[in-house]
Amino acid sequence: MRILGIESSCDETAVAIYDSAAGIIAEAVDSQIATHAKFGGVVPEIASREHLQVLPKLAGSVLQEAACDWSDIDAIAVTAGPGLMGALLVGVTFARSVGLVNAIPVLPIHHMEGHLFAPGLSPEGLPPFPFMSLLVSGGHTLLIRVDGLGQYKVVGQTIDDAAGECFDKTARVLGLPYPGGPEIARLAKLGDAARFKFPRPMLNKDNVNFSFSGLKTAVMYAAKDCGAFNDQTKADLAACTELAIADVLVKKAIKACLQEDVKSLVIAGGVAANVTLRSMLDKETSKHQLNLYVPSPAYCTDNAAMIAYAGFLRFKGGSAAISDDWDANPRWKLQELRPA
Amino acid sequence: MNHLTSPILALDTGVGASAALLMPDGQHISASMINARAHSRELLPLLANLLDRKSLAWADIGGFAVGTGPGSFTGLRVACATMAGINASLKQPIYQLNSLVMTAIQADVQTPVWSLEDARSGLVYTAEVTGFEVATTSKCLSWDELLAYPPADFASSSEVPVDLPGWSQIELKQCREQSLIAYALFAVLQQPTSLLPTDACLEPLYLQPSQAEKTYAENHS
Repeated sequence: MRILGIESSCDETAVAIYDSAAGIIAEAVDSQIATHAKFGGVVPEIASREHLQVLPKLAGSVLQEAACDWSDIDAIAVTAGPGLMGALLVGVTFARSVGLVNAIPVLPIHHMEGHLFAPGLSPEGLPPFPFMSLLVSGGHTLLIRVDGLGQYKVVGQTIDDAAGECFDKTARVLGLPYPGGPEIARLAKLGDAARFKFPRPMLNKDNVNFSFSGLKTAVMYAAKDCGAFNDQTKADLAACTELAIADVLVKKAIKACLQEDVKSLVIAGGVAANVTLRSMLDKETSKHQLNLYVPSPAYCTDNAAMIAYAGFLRFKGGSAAISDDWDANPRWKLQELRPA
Repeated sequence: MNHLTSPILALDTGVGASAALLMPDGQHISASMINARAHSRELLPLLANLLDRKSLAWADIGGFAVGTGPGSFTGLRVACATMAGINASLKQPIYQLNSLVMTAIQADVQTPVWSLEDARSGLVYTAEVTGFEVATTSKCLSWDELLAYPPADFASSSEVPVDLPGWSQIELKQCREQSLIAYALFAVLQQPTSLLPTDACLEPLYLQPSQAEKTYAENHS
């Protein structure tokens, strides 16, 4: 069985083909990061325009790479939400049109479900259920207990900014370009992570929620009060910011695993590509005898391979028989999904 | 060539959504819907229904004619994405239709007419149209800029939000579906310049940048 996945929920246009016998046989991602960089963030209208320019050709080239055509595709899995409405509409409309003409079933996939199951693309495969997933990106910071496909319990989430958003905002304070995460990580390598003591909000609360809005303010004040705001200070601020974010994410993730009595932790989302976070998680999960599952960096950020794979799982679970009564849904909640 | 050799499917989302199936035997059929918000979900059934009515399969379609704007960005994108998806495997020729010409055709006059469509935020999409062709390049102007032009006859399918002293509005005599059929036939049979190159992607005629780009340009000028 071959599933073609389409992802266009934000600023990456991506297409991939998952083969149930061979895994991912072709994939491509076209990132719009450079386009949006000068605006300091994603501009929805520009993102939609670029998706339309790129998607049809990208789909054609991925099919070519896989040496197949539309008649070889058994189902199309497309991100239907959450995300930017205009961006989602391009992917969904294209997918439905191709599906109609070629009599291929089209499955709406929840973007987060794609991330949750992305470890299934690695040679080790998915951990046994239940597992905890720490989903961290520019738009989300969530701790989700996964008991099966479509069986999710959000046990913790940010009450204000997402971790990735905090990286972006802090980067702006430091005069670094968008997206902030990779820039801060790069600069942090040159800095002293012990120079500034930044807050670890909500660490002592009973719950496993997060709050990152205060951290940006703390960095702003530190930058103002430090005297010389030179390159070394910027590197030190980057290192301390990265450590503060990673520290909170790691401690809350471990706490969530222990609270829910699950043995495996999966990390996903763009921030999961952060090396400091990965290494701290590695250390702490070992200490608590938890199994850590880390997708390859390419499958941490937005991609279509995870959408194709989630589509495969849904298709296998009988979702091909779902009604046609669905559309792009920018506010689609994970809890609205049904078990396969 | 003065007749169609195979069925042509035409689509316009400039005003609501209109679709037509042009048949070689001259028995053209059409359909439309008003709710622009439902474009993404209901556009495909609208098109599929036209094919069903003529007992056609998608493989029987020999080409497409698509209104690419100017107009609502989202509506136009849905039309273009729909057509890109439909044609991903069919690989048939696509003819681009100008939505301003379509409005002018609705006025059904033999003399030149300005087509005006409210672009919101104090802007107007406009072009001078003669018959089935644009006499001046389609533009996005402020209403004040438009008023610098000599007053003329104009057609509009949207409500004109400003007074246009000296300008004379012509009543639209044809519905959008009729206009779509007439324009698509003209484009396919007599206007080879409207044919999109095979390696080009079908894109809306936006005529204006996004708000973020405008703001960026203002701040960096």
